[in-house]
Amino acid sequence: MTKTQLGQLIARIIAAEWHAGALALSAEELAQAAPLLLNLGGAAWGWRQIRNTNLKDTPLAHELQQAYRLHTLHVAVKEMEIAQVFAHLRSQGLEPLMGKGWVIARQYPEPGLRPFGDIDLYVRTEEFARYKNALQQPGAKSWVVDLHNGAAELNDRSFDDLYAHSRMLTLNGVSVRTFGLEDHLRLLCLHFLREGAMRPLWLCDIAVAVNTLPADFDWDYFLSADQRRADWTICTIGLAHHLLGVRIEGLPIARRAMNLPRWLVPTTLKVWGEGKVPHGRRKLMAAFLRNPAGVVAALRERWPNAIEATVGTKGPFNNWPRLPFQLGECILRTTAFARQMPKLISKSS
Amino acid sequence: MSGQSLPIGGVDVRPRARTNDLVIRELPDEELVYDLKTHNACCLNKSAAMVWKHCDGQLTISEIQQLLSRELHPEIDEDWVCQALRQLSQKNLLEAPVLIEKFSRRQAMRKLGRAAVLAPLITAIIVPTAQAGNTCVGQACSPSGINGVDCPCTRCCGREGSPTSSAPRVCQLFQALPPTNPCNADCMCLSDNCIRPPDPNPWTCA
Repeated sequence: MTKTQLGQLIARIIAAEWHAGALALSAEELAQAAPLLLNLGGAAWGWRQIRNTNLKDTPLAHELQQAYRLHTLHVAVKEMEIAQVFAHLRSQGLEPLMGKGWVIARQYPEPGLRPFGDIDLYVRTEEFARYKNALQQPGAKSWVVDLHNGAAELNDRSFDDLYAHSRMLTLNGVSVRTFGLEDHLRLLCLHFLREGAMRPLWLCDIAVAVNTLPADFDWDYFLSADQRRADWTICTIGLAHHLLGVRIEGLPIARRAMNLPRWLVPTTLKVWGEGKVPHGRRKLMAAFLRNPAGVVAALRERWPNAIEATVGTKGPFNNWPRLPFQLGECILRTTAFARQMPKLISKSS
Repeated sequence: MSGQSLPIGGVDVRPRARTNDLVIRELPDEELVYDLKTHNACCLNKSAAMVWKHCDGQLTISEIQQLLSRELHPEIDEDWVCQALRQLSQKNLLEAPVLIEKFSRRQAMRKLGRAAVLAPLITAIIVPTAQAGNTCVGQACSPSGINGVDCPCTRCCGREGSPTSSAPRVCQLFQALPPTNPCNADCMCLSDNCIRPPDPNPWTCA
């Protein structure tokens, strides 16, 4: 099975949620897909799709089920943490915006289907230090908070706008402020692209979000500000439609979303089939300053795919070749790394 | 859990379910329990969950058996309940463990007769081959290399209890790591938070 075929298989399993009828999967196909599902955080979702098939009693299905159980508990523990984090920050007069993770997990049929690890909080740059201090206090250190200095993906909008469109959710009796639905869908799409479409579950997030859009979803606001980003988000929703079968007919973006650049689907499938380690879990490049063994493989691993390269260089989603964008992205990254070199060298010596 | 064990057989044995430091999630056919103290996760099948639910510190084993014989299956006897209590004790899910005379599972099944299909069962939740999403929990690991961690499944490597305890290092659900270690979804840093320096570097404890 080629990587693209493997990616197609993953897409087929995930998409079973939105297709009528039981998922038709052979034991061999499950054997191919299960390790990837486990590696990429999609095991619980995979279990949901096969638990009503004749594969449900196989050892591999059992592994997926175990992951589902573990994720269910993990999410429950994280929910406690999130409530504690918000209560703690609010007691200090701080009110962050939360995104991704639990915010999208709660839209899944069961929260355990969407594992998440850290608590993504987005704060104004001018308040970042206050948040950092608050999260360094005793009792707060055990929380796994990913504190974002601003909201990079949404920085074509003001933080005032983001707050104005934000909404409150209740978790264990604590109010949790999150992005508005429009901003959050935009965040999910742009994050998926920026990370090079690495995780099928991130596209599943978008599918779940689109599938649960309320009738009063403000498409004008969703598509406002930077038009290139707006086009990227439409294409991401189109990708969810194309690969996962999410219905977009009747949506104002449907026409563009059904007309995707020709490299987008194959790139995504190949990435999924490769099962690469997401950016955040790679070994630090700085580590190779001390021990260069493996640096070639690490560089090869960092060769940007067409999606992350296009987004990284702020390129258009059209049918032009992607190589120039990939080269451009490499130059950008290398420049950023070179700028850090003096600091890294002094740190490693 | 208190150190006192309850003897089996007496009419005064009234097992009480532990409630502190546990995260519990009910699913349609089972109950999932995560122990915040030991970081162990287990799954109670429907029968075990029902026994556990009736362990309120008021009911005797005999009374629990009578309740379950009405709710679950008429052939459920005290041995069946004891089988569940023994497992609950082993998993630290009772305030005080109930000491139960050892008998094999096969013996127990034979005694249970038709009710054997409803045998109480508590299993640990472990995902052996996965490499992400908290899935190497419990596996032995050792710190090494420039990144300071070498978990068999690329996860964090730490000790039961606190990071400074003398317990052997294992991969854990929740992990504390010192500064400069790469961190991710399931790691905590000792000194600060998991932050992301400018690309292409990954998340790092700062």
